[in-house]
Amino acid sequence: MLIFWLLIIPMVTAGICVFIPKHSVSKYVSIAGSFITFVYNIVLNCIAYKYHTLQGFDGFFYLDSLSILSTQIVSLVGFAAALYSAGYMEEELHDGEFSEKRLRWYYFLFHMFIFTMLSVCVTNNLGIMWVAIEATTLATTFLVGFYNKKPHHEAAWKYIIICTVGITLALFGVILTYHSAKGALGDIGYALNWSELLKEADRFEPHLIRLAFLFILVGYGTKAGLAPMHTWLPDAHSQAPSPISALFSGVLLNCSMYGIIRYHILASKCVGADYSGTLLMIFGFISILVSVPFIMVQKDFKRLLAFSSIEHIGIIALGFGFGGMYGIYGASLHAFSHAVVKSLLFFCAGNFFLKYKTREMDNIKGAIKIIPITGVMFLIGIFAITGTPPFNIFLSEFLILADGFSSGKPLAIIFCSLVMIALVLIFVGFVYNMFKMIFGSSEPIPERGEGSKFTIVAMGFLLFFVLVVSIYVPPFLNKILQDIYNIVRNA
Amino acid sequence: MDLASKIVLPLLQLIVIVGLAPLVKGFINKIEARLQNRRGASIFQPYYNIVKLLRKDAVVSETASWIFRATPYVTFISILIIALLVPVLSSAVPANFTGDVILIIYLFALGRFFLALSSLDTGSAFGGMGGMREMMVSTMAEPALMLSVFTVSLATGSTNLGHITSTIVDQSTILLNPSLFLAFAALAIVIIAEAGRIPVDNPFTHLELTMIHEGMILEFSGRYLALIEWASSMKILLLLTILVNTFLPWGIASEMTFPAMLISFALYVVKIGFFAFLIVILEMSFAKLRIFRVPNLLGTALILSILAIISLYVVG
Amino acid sequence: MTHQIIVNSRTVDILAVLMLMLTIVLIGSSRLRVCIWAYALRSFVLALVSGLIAYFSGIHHIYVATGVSIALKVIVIPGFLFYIINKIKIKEDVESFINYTLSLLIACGLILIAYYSTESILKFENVFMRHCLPVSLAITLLGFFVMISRKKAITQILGLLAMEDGLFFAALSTSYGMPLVVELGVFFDILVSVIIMGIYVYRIKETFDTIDTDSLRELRE
Repeated sequence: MLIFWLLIIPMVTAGICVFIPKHSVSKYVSIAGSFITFVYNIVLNCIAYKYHTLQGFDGFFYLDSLSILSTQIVSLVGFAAALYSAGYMEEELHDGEFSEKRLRWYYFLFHMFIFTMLSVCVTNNLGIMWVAIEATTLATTFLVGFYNKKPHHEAAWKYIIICTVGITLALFGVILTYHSAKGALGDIGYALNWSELLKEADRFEPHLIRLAFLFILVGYGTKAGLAPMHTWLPDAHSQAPSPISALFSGVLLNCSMYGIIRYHILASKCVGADYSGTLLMIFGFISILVSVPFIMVQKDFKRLLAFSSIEHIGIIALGFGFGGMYGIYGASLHAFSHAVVKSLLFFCAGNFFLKYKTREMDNIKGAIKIIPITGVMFLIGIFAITGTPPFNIFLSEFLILADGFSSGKPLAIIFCSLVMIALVLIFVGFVYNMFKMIFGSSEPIPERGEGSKFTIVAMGFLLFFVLVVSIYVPPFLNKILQDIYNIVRNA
Repeated sequence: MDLASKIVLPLLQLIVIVGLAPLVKGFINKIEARLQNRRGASIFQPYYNIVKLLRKDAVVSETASWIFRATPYVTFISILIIALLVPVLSSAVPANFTGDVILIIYLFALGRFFLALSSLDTGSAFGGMGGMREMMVSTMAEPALMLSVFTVSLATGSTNLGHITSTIVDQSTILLNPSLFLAFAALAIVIIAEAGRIPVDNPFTHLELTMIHEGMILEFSGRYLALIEWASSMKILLLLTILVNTFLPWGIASEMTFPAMLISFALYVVKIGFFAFLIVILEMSFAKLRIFRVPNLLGTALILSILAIISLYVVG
Repeated sequence: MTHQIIVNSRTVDILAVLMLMLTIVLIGSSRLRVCIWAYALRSFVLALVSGLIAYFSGIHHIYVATGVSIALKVIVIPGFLFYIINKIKIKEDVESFINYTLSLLIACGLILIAYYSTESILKFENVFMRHCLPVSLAITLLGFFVMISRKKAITQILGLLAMEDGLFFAALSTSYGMPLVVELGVFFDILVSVIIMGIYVYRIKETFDTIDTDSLRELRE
């Protein structure tokens, strides 16, 4: 029942926001709603942490450490994005990009989006997980095409078509899993409950489970941005409003990986970790490789950040694929770190857009003088995202690569070496493209001053988490990450 | 009894096929006219046409060779042999010992081959064009026909049409196989193509752009034309007979007694009439396809027949 | 196997093959309205099949799925697609990247792949409804092929619906459908996704003045 309330809060917020005509009121309602979600989630996670797992509604909901981490990422970044939206959308409204009536729908869809992502992370039923992931696609299509112009429509169309095709392929995987579960467990109502399936997984037919995992990986991998199914990602992430881009890059990709990991655990128990681990490694590696050339030749900074998301999801997949203690620990930590850093970068990018009115990197210069706070945070963010020590991304990437090198599998070692070269190239690409934005002088000089206070507060909130985890992994986080390793490896 | 079945049955079959064929053609024309709100010619008109043509002189081009003069006879006689290989009134096929379904398909091809050659023989442009088109249609229709018939053979375990019919009469559940359903669909399209009806070919047209069969027989006259027209109407009847007695064989006589034969004949007439009516409905519902779209339709028939046989082989 | 079970199983199989033929009509037809009618007819046959399976097996929750399926896929979704076509006033041809003959051959190849890849699974399954698994996989593959080879946005929606139909049929024939909650969720998702896609087709027509997705080329690297 407790878990049920977690889902109700964003739905109620969405419902209230739709009826409030004035933005000055609805932004506070939205911030309040997401703050309550955030706090309630912390409370719920504390309870779950104490009892190790939490079930609810007759086995319909299920929270373990993996869910704790994922829901925390959702509610944390969601709260930051709500804060940021309040400032960002206010500015855009003043600039006349859309009407106030449309903004109501923005808030409605925003909170429904949070609701669907939370549903993915707390449900036990694999079928409902599928429905929730598809629901995230549906809730966000209108958000991608929010500004009603040509490139946005193209991005939204590509997004909904490619993601729905991918998720339909994943449905085939779910059906195969249900079929083999029914074959092993008999005809019972909870044959799609993950916790029950995990207990009996070694009795499933290996051939069917292998096929099912392949379809799930390709299907949910489309939603997660693994190459070569990533083609929708740069368009959708760059054309959406900045707070939504942040939620996409940090959180939605993570929720899709959550779905893949659940199946990875089942498949590991049934056919051994090698099959699904190797597939994850291969897709992760291809994603990293694919993102490198595109990062280096980008002109649009939001697209560059989107390709960087593809790279980082590849790293997470690589970490889970390696499967050692450090790999899984590092990958889970990376999920959290990437979410906060990438959101911070997207918020800074949004501020750039508000100030300079363009997304081309060549046209933006000298941000450190014009919008100093954003500039500084952007600088920190660039160093963090490329894996420069001592930031949190460096920590998680180091752990993952260490695991790869120490695993002893030749494929893993080759991948790791190539990934290191790729990371260096990405660092070069980022610095080359983005330094000019921060330093240098621009003609004509736009007026000084930050846009809105809300945006600064949101970015500061995220920066806090970036810095904290860089220096010190709190013991409860440590325990959660180790627990995730146990869950994945218990199989 | 054995002697009776060896002599009486083939004779009866020949009389039925040869005699009934022009009536079927007349029936199709009459129904079509009625549905188009005309009175139409009498259903016996094709008989009058044949009698009229037999009385006239045959005019042959000077450049034509022996193939031109031989073709009508070859076509007519090959169709007559097919008439003896198909179960019409009884599931005991008269010429059982000489051949099966494969021979039937090749006899159709023989007639078509000679017709196409003779159309080139006279040197007229319409003839050559008609012959070329006919060959194109048959390139795609023949494999589809073979594969769908082979599907039925695989399902019933024999290529002999008589055996097929009697097997299906005994165990009707064989027919419920979805592969046979696909084969039926393919066969229906192929029969439209072979019989030269809309949407593949227009039997009433004399415009050069639209004729296939009419183009090939343009140069024939007199008794030659009579034989070819008779043969083409017998071809339609035989194709329908194959369809009817393979997929709906109930009522066919298994012994040689008079009442059984009578019932069999009556049911046969009813079934053929029903399918002729379906052909008319089909002709009225579609327009004739442009000639370069005909391979699309036949390609679909070919694919359906390939699927029929593969699905029968894989699933069983 | 008793006679009655064989007859029941074969009836379901024949309806399955009828659905496959209607999907081939989707690939082979050159008019948009014929494609939508083929979809509506196929959904009707699918509803018939699920009703028959519910009747033969006695599992009653499949009846609910049948009812929802008829309401949604036979009435609401085709009606919505016709409404969109009438509103956007386009030339109602099916435009494709691949020419007709080649796409027909590829479709044949895909169906053969479906039959051959399920051959090994069919050896171990029981005799009941044996055509259904290859047919469902074939419909899914054909839907995927339609999505990637057709230019018009509406035909892409039809391809997606074919994929979903194929998967629903696969679930129905192998394990008598999924739990009712999941099935209702899937139906709801399909309905909402078709509505959203329809709205986007309308918007694309308004801004780009064509629904040829080949002309959506603004976002390049």
